Amino acid sequence: MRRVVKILASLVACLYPVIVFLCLVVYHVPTRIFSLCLFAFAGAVFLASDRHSGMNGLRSLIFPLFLLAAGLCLLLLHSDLVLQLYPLLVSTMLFIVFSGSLAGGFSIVWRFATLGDRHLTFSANQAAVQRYCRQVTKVWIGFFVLNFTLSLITVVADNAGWWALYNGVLSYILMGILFGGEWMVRKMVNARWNKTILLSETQRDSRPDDMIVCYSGRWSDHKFLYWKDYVEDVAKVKAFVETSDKPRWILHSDDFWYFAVAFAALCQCHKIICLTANIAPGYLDELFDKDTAMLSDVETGRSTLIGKLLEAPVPADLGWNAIDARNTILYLYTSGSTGKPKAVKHTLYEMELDYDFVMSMWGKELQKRILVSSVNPHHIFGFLFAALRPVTICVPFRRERIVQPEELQSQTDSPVTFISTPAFLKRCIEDPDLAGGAGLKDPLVIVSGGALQPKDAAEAERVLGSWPIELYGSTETSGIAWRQSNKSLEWSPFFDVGFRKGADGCLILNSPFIENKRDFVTSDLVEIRPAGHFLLLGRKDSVVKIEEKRISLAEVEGRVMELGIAKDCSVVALSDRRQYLAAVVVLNERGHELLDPMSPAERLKYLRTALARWFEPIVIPRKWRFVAQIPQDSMGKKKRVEILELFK
Amino acid sequence: MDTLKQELKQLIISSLDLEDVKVEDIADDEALFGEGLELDSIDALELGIAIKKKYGVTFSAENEDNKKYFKSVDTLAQYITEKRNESK
Repeated sequence: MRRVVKILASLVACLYPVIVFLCLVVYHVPTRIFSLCLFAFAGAVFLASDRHSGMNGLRSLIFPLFLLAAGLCLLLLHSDLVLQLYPLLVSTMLFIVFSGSLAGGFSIVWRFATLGDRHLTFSANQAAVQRYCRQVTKVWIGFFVLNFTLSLITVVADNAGWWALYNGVLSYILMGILFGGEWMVRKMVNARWNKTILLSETQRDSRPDDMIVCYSGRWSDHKFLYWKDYVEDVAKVKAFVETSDKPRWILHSDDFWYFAVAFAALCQCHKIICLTANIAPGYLDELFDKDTAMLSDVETGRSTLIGKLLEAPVPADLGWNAIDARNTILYLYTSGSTGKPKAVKHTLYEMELDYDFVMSMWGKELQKRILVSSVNPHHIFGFLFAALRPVTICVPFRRERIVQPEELQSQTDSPVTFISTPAFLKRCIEDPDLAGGAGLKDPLVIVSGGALQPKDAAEAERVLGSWPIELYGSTETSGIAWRQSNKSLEWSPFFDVGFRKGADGCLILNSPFIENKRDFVTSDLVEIRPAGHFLLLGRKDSVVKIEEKRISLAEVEGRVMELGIAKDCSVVALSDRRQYLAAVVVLNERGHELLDPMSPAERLKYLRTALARWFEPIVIPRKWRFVAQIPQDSMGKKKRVEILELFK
Repeated sequence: MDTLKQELKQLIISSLDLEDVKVEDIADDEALFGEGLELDSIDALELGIAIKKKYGVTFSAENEDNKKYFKSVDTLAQYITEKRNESK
């Protein structure tokens, strides 16, 4: 019953002018009867209303009180003046509510907007949206003033026909026009805010100053860095880089903000940029020459700290130099099959090419979420997804990399895209802290770097809340294909990527993302499936992957030899509880002198420390065998099976 | 405290499958990462999980803090003791 009265009350409130006009002017309902109807209706509305205390209670009393007053006036004074004042009352009330919300900080239009789309509160452009909503609120306030004035004129003119026409019809049409017009403007403005702007197309004023680029800690800490900070910090790094004539710069930073800022600065200075995750001193020695400089977030002895540069005052000139994507050269370092660290050359142009595909596939989903990554920006996947892309598509990113699974538990206050690797997901599954679920809100999980077994993907869905999307690619090729293993085990190629199976069973690619490379031969064995899909069957060469890190066994062997303690050596990849490397060594005289007196543990520490000069710990062999001779066949080829036997 | 440290060393050796290393080979204040044993990032994850399973303590959501706790056997033992006392 209460609901019926409430619905009726809203209906009457909307059609009020029409009803009044029909009753009093067209059908000449006696004023006494009409006023009695008003009393009855006022009573019903009063009884049906939810009784609140304070302001809300007062507000729910307004309509019945008004009906009461109108009825009394009609009954006692035979005047419909009060009846006619109703539209004025409505305009006044709306005027008060809208103006009040402006004074209160959050405009009423913003509150309505966030009810309709809760992702707005996590969007990079929330400040701009709020500003826009304030403008719209002001326009509506203006409209209420106009509406009030016109209503007042029709009341003063004392013409029931005009009054009903304006308040019952024209006023609603005006409201509709305003509403529709605003809707169209909003669509346009929205498209402008969420527009993809490639780094190479970016200008200093491409975005509003208060667009959120990056956050620190958790989203609700509101430790934001804005577009203004981005432009200023880029200018600071640029001011420093410009003073140097070195053409080649190594960039290493786990801090995604430092990375993004330094990368944009180096691009603007037309430098060649080298990205390396490995900053072992011996490795850097080899990368450096007289033309090389380095920016990093940690002390390496030969780099300039980005954090230090950002302490400088903001330069007077915030100019943004044009970036020439086709001539911006990037080197990413990986283990090549030759055994030496291999630099893979890309241009910024190639790196930016697959945006269209990624955006067409996942753009909407990405833009609804903020972004966290466990992948560092030196890896091509981390670079593209967590460093280069977020600014381009207006997605706020977390400054700190996720290093331990439990850190995910601090990212539960907003929807997230989680950029990760199969290896990291495996740890998340095992982590007892996350056993009850990480508590992520509406997550999108994207992984790359290695194979994710479907059973691990299923577990990851249980723990993280979303079945991971896998991207297949490599440093040389960037993105090639994707799959979600609950839907299909087959890989679907990115558009524009052509592929076929080579004579040796390996996948051969023709991709616009690989510079000057027709028929790029991968080391991945493939089975071509119908409808333009394929299955991956494993790797072919002596390059192994340990927890997603591509490692050349020949390179590790070369370094062991460089220690000057071995006559011969062979490195193999083992996997039991985890994957790791193991080495078999034939010691030379010096090796015997040095290592023989040591305890096994001392020997292990010595060798690991010595190799840490070139390698990250993950690459350094964990098990060692010292033998008189490495098992070989008559052709001098090492016998793999027998070498593996040594570690049983 | 000393028993805890011994236990931790045993846990490090068993959970990380460190061949050739005995309890007495790991000094209390020896850096676990970055020098000496040169444990890697997977070891850090594995060790974290092993400790959580064995002692029921949780680590911080802040990476910086965890770096401190995982510095050496000493720091780990201290952290676990503190956590246990807190929950008593």
